[in-house]
Amino acid sequence: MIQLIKQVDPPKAQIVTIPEGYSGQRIDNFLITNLKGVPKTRIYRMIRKGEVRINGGRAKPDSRIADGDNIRIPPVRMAASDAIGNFEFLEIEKSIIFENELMLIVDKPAGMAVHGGSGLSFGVIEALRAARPKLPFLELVHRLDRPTSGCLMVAKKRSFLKKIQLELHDKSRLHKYYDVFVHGNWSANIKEVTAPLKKNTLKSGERISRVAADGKGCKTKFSVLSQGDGISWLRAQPVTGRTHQIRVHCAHKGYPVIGDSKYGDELRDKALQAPRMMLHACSLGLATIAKPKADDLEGFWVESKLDAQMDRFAKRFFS
Amino acid sequence: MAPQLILASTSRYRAKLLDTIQIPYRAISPDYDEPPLAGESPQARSSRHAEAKAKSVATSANDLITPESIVIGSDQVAFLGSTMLGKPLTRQAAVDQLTATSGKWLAYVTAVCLYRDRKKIWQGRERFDIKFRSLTAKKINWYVDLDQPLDCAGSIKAEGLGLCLIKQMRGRDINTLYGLPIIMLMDALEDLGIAFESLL
Repeated sequence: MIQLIKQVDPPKAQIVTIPEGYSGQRIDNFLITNLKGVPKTRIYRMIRKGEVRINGGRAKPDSRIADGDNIRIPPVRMAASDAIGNFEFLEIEKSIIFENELMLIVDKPAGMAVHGGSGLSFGVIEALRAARPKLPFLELVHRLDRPTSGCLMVAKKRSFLKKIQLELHDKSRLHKYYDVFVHGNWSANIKEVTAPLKKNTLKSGERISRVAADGKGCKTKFSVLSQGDGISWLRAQPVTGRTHQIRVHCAHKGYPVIGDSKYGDELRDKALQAPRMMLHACSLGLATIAKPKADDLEGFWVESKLDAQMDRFAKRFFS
Repeated sequence: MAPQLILASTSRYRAKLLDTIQIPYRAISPDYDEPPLAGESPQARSSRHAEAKAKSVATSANDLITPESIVIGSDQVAFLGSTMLGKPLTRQAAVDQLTATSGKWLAYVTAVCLYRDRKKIWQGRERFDIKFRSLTAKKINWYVDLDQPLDCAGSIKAEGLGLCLIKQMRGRDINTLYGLPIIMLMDALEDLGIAFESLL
């Protein structure tokens, strides 16, 4: 089939919006810090030639930036590809859907890792730390697989991290729900899957989970939201939180997650032209308690809508 | 502006080579069958396939290209004497190929064919040779397990670990071995009067 595989566009100027916490910094220092690997002489030349603009006006080296300023940064070509300025971390601000003094919840885009490593140097947590240099403590409370989108909780206080991790183990108050599209018409009789899972690391470093009698105890609750032609839209609630739990539990029952390159069905994915793995962490909440003690965490409830790709897919196949 | 250069290939190795020279491009998968022709030489076969790939994209991908687009079709064959070595695809086939090439010279020929506005405007071929060391079964198994060269003609990734298997190399441009003769492609653009800078 004739189709577009990859596109490399000519470099373009980028417009970057300055988030909170940078006000008062000089533009030259801001560029030097963030255009890693670009020589200073090159940065001063682009400022001198008027290629750097603040809210449309030419910047001088000693111009100061303020919250909400729009900065135009000209395309920078460097022979070493990793030297090109990366302002993606500023985009992470737009993904924060809930925040208080204890934590924030990010609507993680599909394809972004929660943290660096595994061949990637940059993940959600690194982006947040770069975007919020003034916050002394930022740690992931839990993880989401790279292809999964949706609610991801990040602690801003160590004391909160400890308490919420107890809730994660205890399960009675903390609830996580996922939207998941699977192949096959899910049998409504399957209300939960309890197959034990064992984690393996392959020679290549790839992590996989599989159902094994000597694995760790596991539980995922399922309900059917909609049925399409040979596919189902499920709401999954993982009670335990093992590696790839929902994906393996669905595949184990014979209903692989659509677009899952590890445990899925490549042929059927191709037939549906699945653009991504159809798994989305749609809500996250801590139940309120009737008579809280002083040191009990307050309840909250956060929801995230399906992203454009999953939404389009849903409109096409679940009418 | 959409990139002017079109790579009619699904190969990640070819895309990587274009990435290296920082030319903007689109990679589009061609749609054609590869029936072998009886009595065809490996060289003729690579030229025929390079042309078929370029033609397929140049004449069918109407919404992805413009009349100004330069469509690059490319095909590589590896051969040992008169025997052609394709992609091994299985572990056993890779071991068999390396057992056959141990201590011998293996020739790579990569053909390039350029199309513009549905017409063929250039074609050429480049050759690159590598001589393998004498390989023990143990070393071959070690290499195949580690490097998984199952989608590489001749079962070797010479840009990485495969170097351990090589005694000598011969040719103008090692990119011919990697899948796309970049120096010859530059020659072609020069022949056609297309300035490299105009593609950036």
